[in-house]
This record gives sequence, structure tokens and C-alpha cells, in this order.
Amino acid sequence: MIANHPVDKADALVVGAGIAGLQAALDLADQGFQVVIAERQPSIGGHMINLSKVFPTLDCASCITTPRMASASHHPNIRVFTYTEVEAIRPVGDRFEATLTRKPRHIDEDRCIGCKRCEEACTVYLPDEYEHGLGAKKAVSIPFTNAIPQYPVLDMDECFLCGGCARACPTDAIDYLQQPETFRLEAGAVILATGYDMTPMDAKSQYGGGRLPNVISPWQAERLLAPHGPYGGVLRPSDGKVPDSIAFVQCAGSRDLSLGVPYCSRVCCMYAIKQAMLLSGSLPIADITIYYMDIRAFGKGYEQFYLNAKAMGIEFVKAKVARITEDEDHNPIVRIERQEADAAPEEVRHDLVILSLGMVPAWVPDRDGIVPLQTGSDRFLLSPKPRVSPTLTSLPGVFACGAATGPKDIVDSIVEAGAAAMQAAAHLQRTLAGAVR
Amino acid sequence: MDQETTRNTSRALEQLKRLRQERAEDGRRKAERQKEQNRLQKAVLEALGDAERTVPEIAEAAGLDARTALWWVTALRKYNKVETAGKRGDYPTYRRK
Repeated sequence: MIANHPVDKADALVVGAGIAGLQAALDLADQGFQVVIAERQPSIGGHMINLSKVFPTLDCASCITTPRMASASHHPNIRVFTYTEVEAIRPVGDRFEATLTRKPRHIDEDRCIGCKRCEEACTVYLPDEYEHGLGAKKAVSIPFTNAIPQYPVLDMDECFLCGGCARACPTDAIDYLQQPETFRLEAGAVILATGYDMTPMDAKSQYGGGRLPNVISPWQAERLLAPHGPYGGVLRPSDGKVPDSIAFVQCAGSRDLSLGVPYCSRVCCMYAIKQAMLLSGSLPIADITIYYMDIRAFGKGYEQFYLNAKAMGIEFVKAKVARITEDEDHNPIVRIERQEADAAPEEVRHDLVILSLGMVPAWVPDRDGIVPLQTGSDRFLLSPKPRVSPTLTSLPGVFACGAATGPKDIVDSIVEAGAAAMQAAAHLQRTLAGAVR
Repeated sequence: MDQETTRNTSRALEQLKRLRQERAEDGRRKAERQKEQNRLQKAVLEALGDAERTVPEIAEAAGLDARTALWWVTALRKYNKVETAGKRGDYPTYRRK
């Protein structure tokens, strides 16, 4: 259930409500454990709800995520706190005390009916984070159409104080002076499903990310491909043109010591191939090129997916990309050197370039001082037994799953979430048995 | 609107009064931004007029760069003031709703 008021006790606390957190929470709740989910964003669903389709089946991402979001938000054994930050998690005996802060939405959640009249009345337009800046939202807005819960957030840093939303609200739910609310929660186990971020667009300045309008991130590409994307189709951001030539630059944020990301992010090859196939479907006559060092198609059905992309006419060019500039019409010019004997540098003009960024942890507990846990040299959470129990952490009773422990795809994240839930359930049974004795 | 809601709306408006006093300087800055947003929005809608236009055409008519024009067309499309009409060459066309 969506929780509008603090609770003080639960069997387990799940931090993060992306696909891994939701799966772990549901697996525990279905066994009868009382679970609290803490999600820092205003809606549950994580990154996955933002995706168009998933590889290698090209199933609709929303069709996989939305049922889990609905199940978690209606489950009698789950309390979901959104827009809630975890300030600290401390072991106390064989249990944990978590300090959580609910950030103010400036909406009285007991009154709000999600009618969106406040959003309609608002006159302040802002870049929409959900559309990764390609679209717009209002200063008071529900994060996205199928957000759960359907409560808006009023951004008081941007609010013009015109009062339009308060006058439009039929239930008087606007509360301009709402304050953060901190509360303590005692839990017997903790599952960290805190996910990933991507390397910054401007991390490799020679690629022009964040500076050249038609060099975009994979998240922006997902939104362009989504049925309800910002433009209603695949257009390039500089002028709304339908692109005729699109390129992907692989390893634009991974396998690069200079970025502090020496590891392979594991999913970039496959998401680029997926996006290339979807683009090919949307724009059948467009030329689509993938510049790569090597293709890592490691999962079940992934190699065939790669071969299918080749058969569809997507061009795979084994080349190193030195830099990206643009011409006077904002067409990106990609300077490459093919990995062939006697290859000379060449420059190729495209309409749109997508940088395949790498994955980095979204939450580093040691750095943030939230919970005393060990992390690896890659800053992802470290298991003391990575081969046999990858969901363990250095603190007994705290488990981790999904991209919190390292780059991984959706399938592996869901499997690992189930494993973390089982480990947490076993831990809870053990501590419960100890308490009875 | 029932009595309780009316009473509480007055409370929200009282809160606003207080905030406007506390944030007077910030309010002036935001008022300027709001004027600019209104100007850009009006320019895009006037550029569309009764015709179907592409983003570069809107940008030229409104005196904006194409990227800004696209952002506003996207915003106005989301909030039902503009709709996609068709396609001309490599560009979709838009019209007012």
C-alpha cells in the first residue's frame, strides 16, 4: 500500500523501488513478512518504467514493470514510501534502525485525488526529468502518466507563487508550507536495491555530450522511442528533423581508466542493438551505424539478437571514435579510425549520435555515510562471498541486489532480487527463532 | 466547494501571502522569468497562426532558434495547445488546437 504516514516497525526495509526492489519486496511480502519500501523518487518503477522495450525479446518494458508497481502498491504486507530519503541505517543488536525523511511534495496526500487540475492551472514550464530534458513539465506536476502514486510534486524552488494551483484544487490539497518529515523505522533485515546511474554526458568532452544538441544519451533515445515520448516520434533535438542517419558510439563511458570506469558495463552493447533495431523499425530508410570495439552478447538469446540486427541492415563498424564535432546545421561529425590494417582516420556525418554511456552506482553508502558497508574498487556494493552468495553484504542482515552490486541487465536483476529476498527471509527466520529461544 | 474546503483554500492563500513577503526578491526574478516564458509561448503560437508549420518555419517566424522552438512546441503539445498535423519533407508539421 502507498503509505501517507510513518510506521515504526517492519520485518524488512527495501531501499529502492526499481524492478529489483519491487521484486524483492513482493517476494518477501508474499511469504507473509511485513515490508517497507523507501524510494527517493516521487514514483516507484525506477529506470525500467522509463524504457521503451527490453532486449532480447523486445517486450514492452512498461508491461513488465507496471504490474509489479501495482502489486507492490496494493499489497497488504507492503508499505511504500515515495519521495523518501534514507538518512541512516544502523545495526542495533540483531535488528536495524533506519532514519527516513519524507521530502515535502507540498501536497496533502490525504486530500489529493490526482485530478491534475493543479498541473493544468500552473503556468510555469520546466524541463522534464522523466523525458531527460527533451520534454516539459509544469512546476506542479505528476511525474509521468502511469506514476504510482498519482500525487503531484510542487517544486517550491520554481513556483511563481501565483496561487493558481491552490485555487484550482477541488480538495484543497496544496500545502505551500509543508516541511520534511523524519521518522525512525526498526526492521529485522534490509535489502539494498539502489540501482545505477550513467556516466555523465560530458565525461568525455571530446564527444560533445551535453554541448552538441544532436549528441544524446541512451536514456533520451529510450524516450524518443517510447510510444508516448516527448516528440511523438523520433526527431532530433536541434530542429525537430526526422533523422536519416543515426550512429551509436559504444564504450562512451566504460572501459576507460581516464573516467575511473575501467570495467565493462555489460548492457551497453545490447541496449544499443535494441535501440538500433527499434529505430530501424520506426525509420525504415534511415542508415544506422554502431561504432564498437567488440560486441559483448553474453546472455541467453543475445548473440542471435545481435545477428538479427546485422541481418536487418544495421551497420557494425569496428572503429575507435576520436572525437565528435558538428557542422553549421548541427549535424554531428564523427571522426573514426577503423580497426583495420592501414586504416586512415575518417570523418562521417550523421544526423543524430547516441553515446552508449556506462553504469555507475547510484548510491555509495560509505561515501554518503548512510550505512557502514564495504564497496569494491568499482564502488558497487561488495559481497564477502561474490561467487556463492552475491546478495550478501559485509553487514549480516543487510542484503543487496540488482545494479547496486554491479552492472547487470534486467533479467539478472530480477533473479538476484529473488535471491536477496530468500536470504533476507532466512535471516529473519533465524533471528526470530533466536529471539524465541 | 464545501465549507471546509473553502476555509482551507483561504489557509493556502494566507500561506501564499506570507511566502510572497518572505521571498520578495526571489519573486521578482521569477516574475521576470514568467514574463519571458509567456512571451516565448505567445511567439510560438502566433508563429503557428492558422497554418501548419515545421519547427524551422516556426523558429524563423517567431525569431527563435530551432531548438528553443522545438522545446516550446513539445511543451504546448503535451498541454494540448498544439498538435501534430502531418509531415513536410524531413519535418513533422504542427498546428494550434
